[in-house]
Amino acid sequence: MSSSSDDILIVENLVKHYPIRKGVVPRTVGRVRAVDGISFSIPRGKTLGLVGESGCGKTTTGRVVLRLIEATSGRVIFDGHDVFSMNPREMRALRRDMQIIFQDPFGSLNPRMTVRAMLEEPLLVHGIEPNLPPSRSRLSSAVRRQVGERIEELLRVVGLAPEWANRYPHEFSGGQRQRIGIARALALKPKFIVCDEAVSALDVSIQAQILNLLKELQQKFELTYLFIGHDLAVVKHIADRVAVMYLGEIVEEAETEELFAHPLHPYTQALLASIPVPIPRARRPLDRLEGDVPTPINPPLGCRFHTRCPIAIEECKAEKPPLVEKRPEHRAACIRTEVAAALEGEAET
Amino acid sequence: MIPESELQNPRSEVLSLLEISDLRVYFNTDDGVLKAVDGVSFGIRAGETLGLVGESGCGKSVTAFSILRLLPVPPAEFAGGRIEFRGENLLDLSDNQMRRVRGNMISMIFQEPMSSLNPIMSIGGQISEASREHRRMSKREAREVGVEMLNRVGIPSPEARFDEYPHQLSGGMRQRAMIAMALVCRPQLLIADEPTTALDVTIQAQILELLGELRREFGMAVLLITHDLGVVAETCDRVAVMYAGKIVEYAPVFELFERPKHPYTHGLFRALPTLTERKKSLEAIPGTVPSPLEFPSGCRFRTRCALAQEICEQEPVLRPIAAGHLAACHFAEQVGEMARGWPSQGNA
Repeated sequence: MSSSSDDILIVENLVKHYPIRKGVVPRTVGRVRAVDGISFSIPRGKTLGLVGESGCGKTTTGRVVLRLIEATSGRVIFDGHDVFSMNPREMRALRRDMQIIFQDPFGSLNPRMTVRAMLEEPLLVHGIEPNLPPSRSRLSSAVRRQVGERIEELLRVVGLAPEWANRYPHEFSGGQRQRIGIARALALKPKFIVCDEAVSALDVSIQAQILNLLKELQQKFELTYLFIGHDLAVVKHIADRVAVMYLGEIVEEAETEELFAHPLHPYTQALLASIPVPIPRARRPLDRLEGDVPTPINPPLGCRFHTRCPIAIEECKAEKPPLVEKRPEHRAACIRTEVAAALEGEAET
Repeated sequence: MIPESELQNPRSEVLSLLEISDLRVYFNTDDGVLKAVDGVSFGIRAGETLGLVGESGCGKSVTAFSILRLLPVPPAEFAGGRIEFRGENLLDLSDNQMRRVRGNMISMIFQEPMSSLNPIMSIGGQISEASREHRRMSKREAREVGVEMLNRVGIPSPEARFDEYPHQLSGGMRQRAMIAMALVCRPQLLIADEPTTALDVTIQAQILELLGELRREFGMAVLLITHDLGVVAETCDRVAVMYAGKIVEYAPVFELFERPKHPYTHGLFRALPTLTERKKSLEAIPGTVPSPLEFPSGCRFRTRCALAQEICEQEPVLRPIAAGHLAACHFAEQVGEMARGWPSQGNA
């Protein structure tokens, strides 16, 4: 894994297994291998897109990186700090810098809190500026005013009218609620934000507004994003690099343009071929893959994709292919990439 | 697929299988009258796939549910219009007569197979229900037909699956089971309400392919309700675009994607990130969809439209712009031409 000194986030061999416990005296009878040894890094100010189908482990990855879920093993280095070895106090300080935007703007906002209360909370818990001590019980009028100003500023930044601060979530549309979620994530001036399917629940016209907003905020505040999504067109639009996950593993990773122009892993190729393109004259048969994604409880041995892979051979069943560089800055975990690339070339002509 | 020349044929007397005219469906709520569908007209010809597209709350699902009269009345209210299926107004039928249409001549599949299948009834039991009810089949006949249907929709070991319950199937398999259930009586019209929205792309591709095959095989028409313009481009013959309870544009699929004539449709295409082009920033449509409780007067899109002028306070009618192409906009002629990333064959 090539990681330079300017990587704000470095993830090494991250594993998250969930034990399955059964019986009267519960004992572990198996493990769900949600994330199974992945490594990646994100340069400061850039966006890594993490894509894959349901159950591939992309959401778990985002949560484990933020330590919202404890990892089974592996390492996460954020801005030079080893996240998993931090004590709760250090962790709390770090949370200023690491935030998350959720998919569902309806489910992730407390319906009984006004926008002001929601934005106030992080500011009061953590303090308005990192060096000022948090002030919970007794608020001086100076602090109160500062908080008020910060809330106004936040709302303006995400494109909402400051006078809406006293409204409740139900008074807003889906797109506006997502803006509130973004304002909340920005409240503490973070360096890094996990966007977990942040635009998936939105309609096209609104989705475009939010994508543009995320890009604009990234520029303005030098944010780094881990953008988790299943819509490849959206991810292509926003990400600088893309990692494709399948059954808890990264199967391919490259710069965005490179990945979409020269997909090397048969799974990535199939994903791209399955997406309906909004150009009627470009109609082509869509289904390239048969069957369902196998369960992460007992993932197939060898290459996990071999059960659905159109070009799998005997060797694919025996040994897990390593994620190695196949083209400059382009890694794929497949022993048949030459064949895959040739087929892809044929399909295009 | 219906040839393009045929789709642009302006002769509207080509017999429609289903003809909806000026449909109005209102909901009486505590906050006032919610005009979910407000004067919708379109037709579906035998064997064609019509896409009904639009964003959340535009009324597309209410339109679909109205056809089968699946809406609870009240709070829903049919405030006007006709839904003619083979010349008969479905809104005039008694509940008993309607029951003979549902699942027999017109079937429906839904977005969420888990919540639309009965969890405590076997897959087979649910498939047999339709053929026993409508075809008066014996249990054994119904089983035979059901197993054959499960096989046809691509469910492996259909004999065994017939006796299993919905929770034992994967999402894609459940959607296949629901399709089997809908098609067991060979309906002439299938209403598919976001049938692949809850599925992953690789599974979505399988289901779309299957629906296409079955449509050709059974010669049925499909009303496909979706918000996904990609799905529309891949599968539909004609498209009706809905916005705020009204149809704003109606055209053959090629025509619509290459020469959209309503600013809303045009805006949707501009806002859509695609795999084929790299846009620096997306051209979002400003604002939000107006609430159905307080639609603006005149053109309902005018509050978000870049072309809007004073005249837009008068409601535009859905009028022909080109062969087979209708749009409801005073400035339809001025909406920019564009061939979406397909220049070489754009004018073929």
